[in-house]
Amino acid sequence: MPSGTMFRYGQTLIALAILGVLLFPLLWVVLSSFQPAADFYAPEPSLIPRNFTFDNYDVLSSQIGPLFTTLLIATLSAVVSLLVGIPAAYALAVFKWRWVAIAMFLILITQVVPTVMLATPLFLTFSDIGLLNSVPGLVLANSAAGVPFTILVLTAFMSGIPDSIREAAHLDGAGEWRTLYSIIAPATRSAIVAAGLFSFLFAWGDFLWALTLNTDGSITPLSLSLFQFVGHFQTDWGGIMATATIALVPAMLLLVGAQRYISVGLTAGAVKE
Amino acid sequence: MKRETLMDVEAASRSRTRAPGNLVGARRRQLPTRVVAGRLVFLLPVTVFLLLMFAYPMAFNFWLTFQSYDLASLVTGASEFVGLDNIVTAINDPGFAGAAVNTAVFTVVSLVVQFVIGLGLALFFYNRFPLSTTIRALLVLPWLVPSIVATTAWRFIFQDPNGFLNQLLGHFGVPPVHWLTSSDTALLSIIIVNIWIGIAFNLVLLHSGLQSIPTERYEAAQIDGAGYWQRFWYITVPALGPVTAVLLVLGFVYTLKQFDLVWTLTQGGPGNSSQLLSTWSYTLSFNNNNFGQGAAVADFLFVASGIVIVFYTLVQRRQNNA
Repeated sequence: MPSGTMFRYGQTLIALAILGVLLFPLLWVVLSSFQPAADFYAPEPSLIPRNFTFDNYDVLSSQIGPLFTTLLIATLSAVVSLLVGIPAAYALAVFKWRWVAIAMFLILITQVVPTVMLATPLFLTFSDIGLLNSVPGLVLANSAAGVPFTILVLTAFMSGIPDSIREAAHLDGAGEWRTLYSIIAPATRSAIVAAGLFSFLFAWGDFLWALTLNTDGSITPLSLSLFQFVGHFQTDWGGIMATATIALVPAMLLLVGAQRYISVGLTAGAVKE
Repeated sequence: MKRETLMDVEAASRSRTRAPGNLVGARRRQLPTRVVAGRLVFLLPVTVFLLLMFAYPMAFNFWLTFQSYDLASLVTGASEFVGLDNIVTAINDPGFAGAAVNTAVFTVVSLVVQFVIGLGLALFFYNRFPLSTTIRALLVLPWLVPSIVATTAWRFIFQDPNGFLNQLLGHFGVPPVHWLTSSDTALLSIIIVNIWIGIAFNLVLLHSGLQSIPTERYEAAQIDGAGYWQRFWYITVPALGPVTAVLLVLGFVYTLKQFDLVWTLTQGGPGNSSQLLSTWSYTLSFNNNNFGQGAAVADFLFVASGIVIVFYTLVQRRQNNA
């Protein structure tokens, strides 16, 4: 018995080592964001900051604008994804349309479309209708990832709800919207939260739309700001690492606070036709 | 899987119409048009959204493929039909062949290595041990972080000549490698980062695949005297078939779409040594203002993943019917 316990704790040690190796790049970003700029040029960079400092976070004064821009865009993208995706998922999951399989296949196909294929047409169109350098333009473009994803996740969950629950609501006089709002949506709450979080995260991490749809510098999402930072001030590693750490926060919060939703989101792409 | 649910739903609806005094069923037959119209409203937002954000841009891109759309057209909006010129020029450009080869190497190496590491980790985490769930969850982090953060972290590690990786190799007597700035290693560097990001996806799917294998099968095999490797080859490997197929198909599609990594690490350089078809398409359109050729390369990417998805769906359907 004791040897079995030893073995299990041995496994934990190995697992922690694997974790350390795989998360090393991110760990280093976070740790080094607290070390004085001069230490970045030490002949032997050290992982653990030799001198602890918050100086690098002075960069916040210049990054606060991009931070809020990204927060706004990501939140609105999640809202759009849910508003468009929830009714669609409900319809596809519970109405017995014969062509549901075809509709689901079309939604699956959107996952295949290379974003670079949409980049030029949306750039030209947004340029014509004045959506370049605008928050609504970026929200629309970023929702293109969130909407199909939301539908794929929620359709799978909503079709798992027994028909009898819906029927009971109908017998009580609830229409379809009311049934969705007060019965089905609460019952699939965790999937809805997962879809919303992932839609937020897609937009938060977006780089391609930030790069393509902003031409005059009036709107700079955090990802673009960090990219320019790395390009222009590559010597200011302290500021870069502090900005990168800030950009890491939502993913870390998601991991800590919403751990159980993550596998739902991760495997959603694998939901079969 | 979906097919079965659909059949269940149909069966349920048949039994419902047979049930006496079912108002819903009755009203549905009385007011078919109104009810159907009311139900279609649920799909109205998504239909508009998908038409505007997918169908229209894709059609636009297809149209661009056959147009002489350049810098002047950006101002005037005028362009003319040039037939297959863009496609022919794009394919004959040496940049295309290089990007196609790089894309193939990038995709195949990434998929294989991610899968092998993911499977190894999934097997390691098969048995529960203290903290196993938490550690497994944390391993997903590289997949969740913004790509620009991932590339910033790696840019720091790849630093030349004093980055962490070069220091590490230095301990083994390896001279500093110019990871991102040498045409010999730029593609390799990007593949390393892409593998790092993709491990989580493979781990999660393979882990759930392993958990769904009934343990009785292993127990029965063990009673029959099968060793670890025999059980692995004759039980685990065949049972993971469907998950592996999904992983490879989705992995292929996602890897083919990859753009951020390359753009933020090397922009396809030095030379075109780390150029992928996705970044090549973007370069043609946005750096060279050669929108027609950029569109042609993007079409090519779409068709490649489309073929894989359609093929996969057909095979799956045939297996479901069999």
